[in-house]
Amino acid sequence: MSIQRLHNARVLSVLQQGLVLAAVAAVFYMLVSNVSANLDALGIASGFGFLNERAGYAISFRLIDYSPDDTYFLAYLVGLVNTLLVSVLSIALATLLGVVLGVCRVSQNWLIGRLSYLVVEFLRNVPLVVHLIWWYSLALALPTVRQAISIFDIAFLSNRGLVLPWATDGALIGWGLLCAMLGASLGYIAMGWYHTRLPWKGFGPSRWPAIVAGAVLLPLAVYLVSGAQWQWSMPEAKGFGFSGGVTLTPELLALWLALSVYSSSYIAEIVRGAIQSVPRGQYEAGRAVGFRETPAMLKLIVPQAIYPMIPQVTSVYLNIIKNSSLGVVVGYMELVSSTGGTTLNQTGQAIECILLVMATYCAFSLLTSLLMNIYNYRVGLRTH
Amino acid sequence: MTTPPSHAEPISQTVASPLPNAWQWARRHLFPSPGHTVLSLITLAFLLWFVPTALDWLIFSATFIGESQADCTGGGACWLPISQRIEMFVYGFYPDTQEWRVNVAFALAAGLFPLLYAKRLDRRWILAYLAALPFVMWWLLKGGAGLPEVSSTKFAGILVTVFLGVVGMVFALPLGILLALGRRSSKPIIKMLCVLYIELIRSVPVITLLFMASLMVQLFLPPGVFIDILLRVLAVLILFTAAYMAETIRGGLQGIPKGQYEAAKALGFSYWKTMGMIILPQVLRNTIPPLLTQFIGLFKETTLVMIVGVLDIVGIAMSTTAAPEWLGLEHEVYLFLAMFFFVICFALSRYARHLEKQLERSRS
Repeated sequence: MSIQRLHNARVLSVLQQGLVLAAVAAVFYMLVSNVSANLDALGIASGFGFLNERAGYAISFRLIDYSPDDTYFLAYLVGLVNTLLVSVLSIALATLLGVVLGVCRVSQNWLIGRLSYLVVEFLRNVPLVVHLIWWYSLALALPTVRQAISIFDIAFLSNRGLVLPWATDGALIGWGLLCAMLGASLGYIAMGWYHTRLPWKGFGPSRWPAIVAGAVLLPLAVYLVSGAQWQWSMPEAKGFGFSGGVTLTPELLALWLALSVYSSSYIAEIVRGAIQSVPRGQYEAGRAVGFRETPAMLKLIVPQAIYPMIPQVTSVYLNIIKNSSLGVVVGYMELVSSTGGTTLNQTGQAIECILLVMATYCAFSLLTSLLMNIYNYRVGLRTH
Repeated sequence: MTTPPSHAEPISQTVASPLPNAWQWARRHLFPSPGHTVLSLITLAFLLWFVPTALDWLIFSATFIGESQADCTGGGACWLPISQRIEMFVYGFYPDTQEWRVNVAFALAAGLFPLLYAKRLDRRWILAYLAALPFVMWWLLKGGAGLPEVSSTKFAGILVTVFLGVVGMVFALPLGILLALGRRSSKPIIKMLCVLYIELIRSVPVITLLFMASLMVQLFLPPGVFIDILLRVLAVLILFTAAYMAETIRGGLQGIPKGQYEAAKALGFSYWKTMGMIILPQVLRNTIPPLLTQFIGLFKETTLVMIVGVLDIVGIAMSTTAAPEWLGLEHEVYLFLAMFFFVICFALSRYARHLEKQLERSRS
């Protein structure tokens, strides 16, 4: 290739990219000018100033204090917390169900294997929306408050939702959880530090007792030192509803269960794949040296299966967060139905509201991929 | 657990009766240990109760023929909301006399899948079929050019679900290929734009994009221009699926040995000729199973259009359960809905698995 041709190729490449960039910029310019013309015609001022105005709509299920007199921004925060709440609950339940179903899929018991295969295939081939409206109709078909199903007289299940005992001062639970997380991290870090001081790597005591101890002891210590008062608020039937306790609304229950069972089928497939990816010889060797079936599974197969599983499971978790936006179907006030729905309809600030919601989800994704990269880096260090 | 002596197996195989084999099979797969025996017995008991109860409710005590809910006296499922409204579920509000057009469109869409299997057929025919399908479907459904025109507000039910799924897939594929090529491009600006697009779309829920289509698009258009909501949600589904597809195809591109590119270059092939004649045919053949899985995902995702007011099969089902004459029959309607998606998606996923196995065999 002559220098002239090389030069031409480079000029061509730059020209090509310039054209693409110019085309994208032109489309954007056209869209933006259309938007400003349309907004002027409609008399809508752009900008995020509306977030400080009075929201004026009620949100029945919330974890933080909010009333219709508060601002749109607080309504957004309520939605954000509700999204996180249903996501965390669903992630926990989906993982539990998924692991159970996945282990059943590879069971040597033919009946269990076939049955869980059918269940997994049914769950994952039915759209989430169908799961959701079905669970919602089930939640609404529960008995009325007067005939509520009592669970040991401390919790009640009715068509108004599930009422659970709660602290009289809700903030106490938040602080408790925060302390528990802090304690668990402290336990983890302390054990990590202890491990680095050991002469032989990989033979130290397990980390989990220290983590559990941290999670239990730190909240307890803070509670005793701070002198806060813990009081149970027990649910009691009063008239047409319950007073006291905390109510998980039928919308939350339906979304939680639908998200959990739907996502558990994906986790089950990941678990099955990961277990099957461990060479069968590992299991047979374990049996040959005298491990029984369950210990061979727990001590030989699971530890090898768990590392390749983590990136895939993370993407399922991320999907749970994104799919929690389906709360809008049943009227659970999460991000999309609060800010993307009611706020948008009341203010007409379509672009700002949707951008805000999208940016929030993008932030979740970015955070997750950041954590995943850190994780991959660390696992990469360990295996090399 | 003690394993049977090694000579036991050949002996049992020489015995003609199937009984000892069945017993051995059961011992191995159902009762290998006391724990498994208990588990198997509990499961068997559950199935012996569940299957007859379910069959009785679903079929034997169920009502299939009748006019209204008052005819459902059998104590089982009441399938009347579906059997009475089956036309609504399949064709929506489409004019009765024109329903053959919908049937032809369904047949054309279904014809796509056996084509993937036909190895003898020239690839160009498949591509031509793919390229023509959305336009022919739109022409059949919407009318014009010889057919009486039907307003798209009359589109509803399975018709919308199939239309969105198939047309969405056909358009998302080329866009996904372009995005995947762009992401692997050596030109920094093109690469950056593609990465930005793919990652942005993948990190937000589809619902926000559908809201964008239903509420925001009007603001971006010049005054007086209006796009049909059906086409707007179709565009969203295409743009969304393309981003996911790009990642699948990128995976396929990474699996092509470098020697293929070098050989093409040595023979003097240009970039597009290399891609179109050497790389992409191999990539597409290898990625047909994951692309089918993506189609299943898209097909399930089409149910979300109900949120922005497009009446797909879920929309029709919800309007049925809300109708006063069919109150209280949610389970039947939702079970029908679930079975509709289950049958199609499960069949397609088995098909994808089958194609994958064939590919593995042809490689080895």
